[in-house]
Amino acid sequence: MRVLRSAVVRLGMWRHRRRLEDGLDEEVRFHLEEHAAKLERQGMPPAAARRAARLAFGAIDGAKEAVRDEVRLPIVEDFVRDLRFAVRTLVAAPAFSVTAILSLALGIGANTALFSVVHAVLLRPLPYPEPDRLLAVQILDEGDERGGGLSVADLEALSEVRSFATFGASFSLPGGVALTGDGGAEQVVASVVTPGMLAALGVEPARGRWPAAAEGRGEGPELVVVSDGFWRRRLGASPRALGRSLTLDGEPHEVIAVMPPGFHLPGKPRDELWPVLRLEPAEVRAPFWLTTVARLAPRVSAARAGEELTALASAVKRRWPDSPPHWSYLALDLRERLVSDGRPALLVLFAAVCLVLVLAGVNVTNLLLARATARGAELGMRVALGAGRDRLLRQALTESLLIAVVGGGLGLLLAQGGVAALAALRPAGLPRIDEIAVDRGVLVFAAAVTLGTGLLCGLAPALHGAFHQTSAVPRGERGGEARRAGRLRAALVVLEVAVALTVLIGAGLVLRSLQRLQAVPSGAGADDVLVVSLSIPEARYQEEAQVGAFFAALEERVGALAGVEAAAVTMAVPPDRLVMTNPFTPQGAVPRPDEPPPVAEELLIGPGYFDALGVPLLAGRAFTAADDAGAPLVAIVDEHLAERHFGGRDAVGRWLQTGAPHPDSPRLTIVGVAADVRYQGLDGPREGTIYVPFRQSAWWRTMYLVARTSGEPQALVPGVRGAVRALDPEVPLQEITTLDGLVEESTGSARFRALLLGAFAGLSLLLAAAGVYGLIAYEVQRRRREHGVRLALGAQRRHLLARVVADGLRLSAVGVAIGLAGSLLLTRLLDRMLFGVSPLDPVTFASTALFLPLVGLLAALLPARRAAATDPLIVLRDG
Amino acid sequence: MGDRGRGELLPGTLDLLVLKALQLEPMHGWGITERIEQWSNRVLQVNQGSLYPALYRLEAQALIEAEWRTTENNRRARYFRLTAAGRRRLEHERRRWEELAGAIQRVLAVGG
Repeated sequence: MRVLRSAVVRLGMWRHRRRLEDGLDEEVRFHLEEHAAKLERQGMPPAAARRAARLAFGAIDGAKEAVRDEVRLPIVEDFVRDLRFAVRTLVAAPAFSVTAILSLALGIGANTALFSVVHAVLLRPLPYPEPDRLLAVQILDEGDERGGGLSVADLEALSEVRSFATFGASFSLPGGVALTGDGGAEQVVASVVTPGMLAALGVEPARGRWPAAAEGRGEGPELVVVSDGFWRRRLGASPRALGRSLTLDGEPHEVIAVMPPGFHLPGKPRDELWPVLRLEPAEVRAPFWLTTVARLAPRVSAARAGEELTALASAVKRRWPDSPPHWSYLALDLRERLVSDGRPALLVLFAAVCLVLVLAGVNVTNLLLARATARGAELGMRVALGAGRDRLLRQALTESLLIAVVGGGLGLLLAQGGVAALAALRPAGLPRIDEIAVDRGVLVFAAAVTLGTGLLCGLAPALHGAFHQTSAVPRGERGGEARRAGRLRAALVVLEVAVALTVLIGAGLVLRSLQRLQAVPSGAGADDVLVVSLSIPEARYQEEAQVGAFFAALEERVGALAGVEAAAVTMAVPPDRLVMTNPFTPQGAVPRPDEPPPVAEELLIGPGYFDALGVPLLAGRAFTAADDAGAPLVAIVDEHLAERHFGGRDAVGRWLQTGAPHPDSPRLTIVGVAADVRYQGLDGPREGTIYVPFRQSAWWRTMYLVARTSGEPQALVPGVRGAVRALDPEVPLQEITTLDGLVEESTGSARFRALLLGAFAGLSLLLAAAGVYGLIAYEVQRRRREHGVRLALGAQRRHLLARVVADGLRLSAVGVAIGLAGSLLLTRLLDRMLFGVSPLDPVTFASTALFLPLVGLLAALLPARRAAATDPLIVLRDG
Repeated sequence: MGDRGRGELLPGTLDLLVLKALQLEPMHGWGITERIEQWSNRVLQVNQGSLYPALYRLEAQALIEAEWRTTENNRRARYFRLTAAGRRRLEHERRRWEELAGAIQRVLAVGG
């Protein structure tokens, strides 16, 4: 306690040392005057009394100096002195300082930028109250890795789960909803929600109220919850917005709540409207389309809820005999469910960026170590003169910390830019990307990394400086200490090469995967295809005949536009916009009850589809306008399905049935075989495709329109928009893109990974090259005398050059050998990110292992040329 | 720089004497000098050059506290006062001194 108080007093004195000095002056003056006055009272003349008093006091300045010593704060003052010294040292050696600081800035910057992604995506809790009580409830089918949506029947059953306080479901509307009325027609991103969904997430509306459970059933007006953004954009932020009516897909919806800014459904940050879903009681088990979230009741564990769900699954199977045979409920932590897909890639990227930081740190360590050795004489002198080792240690650490703090500050600026660039990339497949920011958590991380790096980088050089210079004053750098430090530096550079090689190989593998992925043909050979999507509202297009007539008229109008070579509507587009798969029964197959029927991708298309996308027809014919509701039912299959189920092109003329196996299902006669097209991603599975003319099965109201043009696809947009408006002014265009755009978008996450890993590999290469260069350059400098002597004795300059370059090559070679061994172990972690490339791909390994020493060679060549250019005269003269 | 004819302080005793001088009432530096000389019948003379460092040292150790006050003839001076820790330290130092002095006494008395 007293120690603490004493420290506080001392600190106070130290902080106010100016005032203290003035006080001391006054105090001494007072003392002298009192003494003189006393002597005067004893009869001494005033002048003599003053002199006597001063004599009695002794040396005034000496006393003041002694007082100052008493109130000194050695640690703080030493630190300030060390800091000044460090700044002076850094300024005096700008090449050294800039190299060290930039190395760390790059390392810490890259690290911080990527950490902000990891933080936002993986670490930060979901933006709901008590987020760890939220579960995602899914259906897991046998053999599936990931769960799928629930059906209305499941949702009804969940109300029997006592472990759930609340639960609800949502469904992200493909293409959103059409908003019409005041302010013009607009397609708005939206998800329908059950009342329970909002209650389970637990975020109170900013205005209005949650819909009541009863409002998710039965009659009454349709309701909609709106986002803060929508409220400001379309409702003028009006306090009277509640109760207003919005026309969504042709139906009036009453606004009952405005959510606070930033609210969104898990994983759906772009929704602006949440129409309240009204569910009719289930009559069958399927279809499975609801995304379900439940909040655990207080004091109930997730494990308990899991047990209840297992029991419930059996009950539901008994209740609904039409249930699929092998399935169960799966309740996962909601955040886990959201982020688990992005995690492996992010962790690999983070590991790579940590390696970059290691490289940067090793560079700085090596630079400091070289300097500590070079300053050996100075340090030895200081030890000999009585400098404490702890003081030397502290001083060396102060320097490395200063480098780290300046580098870290710069790195933070780099990270800010990097994060903005990352967010602008909007990589597909990374959830929560909108939440990425350099926030307080990230700042704490950056500060910790900076200090940690500063201490670690400084430790070896500082220990070296403080403890290895015992022998009085070593001259130059002979002595075993210098040799030992040299070996340590060389080992660190070897480590750098090894680490850089590992990162390069990883990046090489991912880049080759991307190359392979982008080389996969989507199956659609046409260039310059405009793709738009649109939905027609069920309210006004209830009959299949109406739906069919609308899309037929649309095809006709767009096909007649100038510049359009072929146009068609379709339910799905390549490479990854599949909407549905369907079981089917090929002619001649005998369904077995214990074996599920085969499944195929199914698309409703218009007659011009294959022409518009440039998909070759391998046999038979395309659909025509005559394949309508009154004509015999027909289908076209792709080559994959024809091979597997009909033995090749003989498929034409045979038939198949779609849907759950049933002998009475209608038979579709196969009239053509088309080349394979990818609908589940370039790296996705291929299940075979069945095409059906939309005129014969017009039940789906959200379609893509594809139009091939001889010119620029985007130039068609006004014409297409006009054609749609002429048919129905209340139907807006939703997505507007091109076939190439869709292909590019589908490889977005692969490109994101390749881009980042490529950037990290570039950084690693740069840092490792700087490391090799720094070491060789230092050696050349150190051995100037030796080189001078050799040259004077007749050594050839090119031999000198070769010797130095060989030194550099030897380091690289050892580094490459170690790096190869490490990579063999590490690249299997990349397995899930690779496509068409083995984690041990020999081409990548070999080319990187040859390329890296080349860079090492270049890095060694510069100092080697300097060595060869040594002028023996100057060296021998100057020593 | 004291008068050679009079007693110089033993090393380490100045702190003890300063604490003792402050035991009864707060006092300024000059007053402490006077008090010690007076109590020792002018035998002990405080070296002024070491008094002030000692005062600041004791203050830094939180054994005494200082504040500016006005003297009886209206001068500003820094008055020092014992803290509770200072009182404990005085007691401790006093006992140690007595043991030491007693021990020396006994040594000198041997074989008198």
